Amino acid sequence: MANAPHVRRVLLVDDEEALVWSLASRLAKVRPQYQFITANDGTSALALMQENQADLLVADIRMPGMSGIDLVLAARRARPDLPVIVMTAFTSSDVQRLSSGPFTGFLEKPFEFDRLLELVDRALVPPPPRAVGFSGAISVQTLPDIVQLYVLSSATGMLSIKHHGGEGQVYFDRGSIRHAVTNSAVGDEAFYEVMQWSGGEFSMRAGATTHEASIVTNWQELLMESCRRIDETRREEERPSRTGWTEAPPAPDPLDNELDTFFQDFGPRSKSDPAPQETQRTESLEAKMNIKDSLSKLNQIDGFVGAALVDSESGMLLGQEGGGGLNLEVAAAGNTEVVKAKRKTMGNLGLKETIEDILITLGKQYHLIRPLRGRPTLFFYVALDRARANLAMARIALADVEKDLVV
Amino acid sequence: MIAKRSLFALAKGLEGVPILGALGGTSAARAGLRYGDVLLEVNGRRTRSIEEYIEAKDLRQGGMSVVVFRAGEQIALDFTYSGGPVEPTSFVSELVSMRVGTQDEGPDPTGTA
Repeated sequence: MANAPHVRRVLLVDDEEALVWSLASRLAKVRPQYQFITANDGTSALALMQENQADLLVADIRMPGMSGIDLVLAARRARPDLPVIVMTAFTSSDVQRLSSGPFTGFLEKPFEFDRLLELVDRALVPPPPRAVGFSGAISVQTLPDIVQLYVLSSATGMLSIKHHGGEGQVYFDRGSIRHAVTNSAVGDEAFYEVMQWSGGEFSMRAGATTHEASIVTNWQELLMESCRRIDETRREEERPSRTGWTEAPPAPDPLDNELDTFFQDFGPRSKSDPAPQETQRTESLEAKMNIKDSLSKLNQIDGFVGAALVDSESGMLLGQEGGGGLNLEVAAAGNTEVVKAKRKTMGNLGLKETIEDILITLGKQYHLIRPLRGRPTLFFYVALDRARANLAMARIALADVEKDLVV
Repeated sequence: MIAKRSLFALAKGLEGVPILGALGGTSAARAGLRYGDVLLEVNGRRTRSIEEYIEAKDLRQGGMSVVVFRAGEQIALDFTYSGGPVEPTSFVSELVSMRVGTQDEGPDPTGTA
């Protein structure tokens, strides 16, 4: 690629044919030096990438068949350094697991064309040689998104964060979080303090190292605890007012609207509604994502051990997807304490909302519980092998599966 | 006790939904449903899949009638839900001890077997 000049190709993928065509046409007009090709599904996109070595992939996340996430992961398996821009109608946390690689841009739908153009330019313009670092311009709502990006990309360097309340530095060593310091704290507490800051600027100095090693906690546990603290802080505030990082606008959570729509569409059937006829029911089932498929899809999560679907109203344990015959490590007593602690925390916070998910950490396994939003009396139960699982990704994958499931 | 793999094969053959357990203290457990049963009907409607189970369950509020296959015969049961849905948290320890992650071994179905 570097040996001979060639027309740089951008592959745009979205199942909305008109949208992707429109984007490609507009981009081609303002950037005639690039070639823009399109696809309307993940499978076609992968085939196109094999035929025409794309220099940038711009993909929608939610597509029928192969999702945008699967597409990006598959594309990066073939080419790990592929720059990617993902378009999603959901918050950036949905696509955190794509945040590895040299360039990952996020576009929250709806987006302005100029924003897409800016990301395309940045993705296709190589960084200056011997760059000592780069400044953050990725739109994220919370710093854990950024931290995960550097962890997953096995980065070594110093993440410097400026906040109106002070400054902090987090050091990475080949993807491990080694040291954190702020004006008032060092180690884990400094890390948590930084992660809770609600706006400011960050920059990464690649390659920077330190002799300090104030953090030994696993990065996943650090991020989980950070997210928990952020949630607590958010709930304590009268009105969420996160200003976001760099360019991130303080947008209302689009998931709220999604949830409203979801409940309107899939709420309990009123008694006045007639029971569906057999033919109608069959048709509707064909349009849905099958629960068995959902459980099978969970099987693809790294470190998957087993999954089940539970009807908490009747108490029946129904669907199940088994892993490799591993036995769960039974720690009933410890789990009881975990559950008690979870309940106590929720009680102390005065939480009246529904549980999004519950995490149980055993010595060798994670256990995730996620009620179905449309049917809160049903919930998925997933067991993961800690040694092989990426907890953050698993939570996102489980949320994706649950989100796609219509019951 | 029937192994999970055999239970799934049986359920597939019967075109029913395998019951992998009835959590202790719940309506299903009190009604006698247990690991190894195959759910054939709910509220008078055939249940070939979990989706059909969910739809059939909607036909009646506050309880359900079921027909299950157990030990070569069909058994009809009727029960009402008591105390409303139980929070998932209360199931956690039990689910862990039921060893959901195993495929070949049948779990201890909370003493109901």
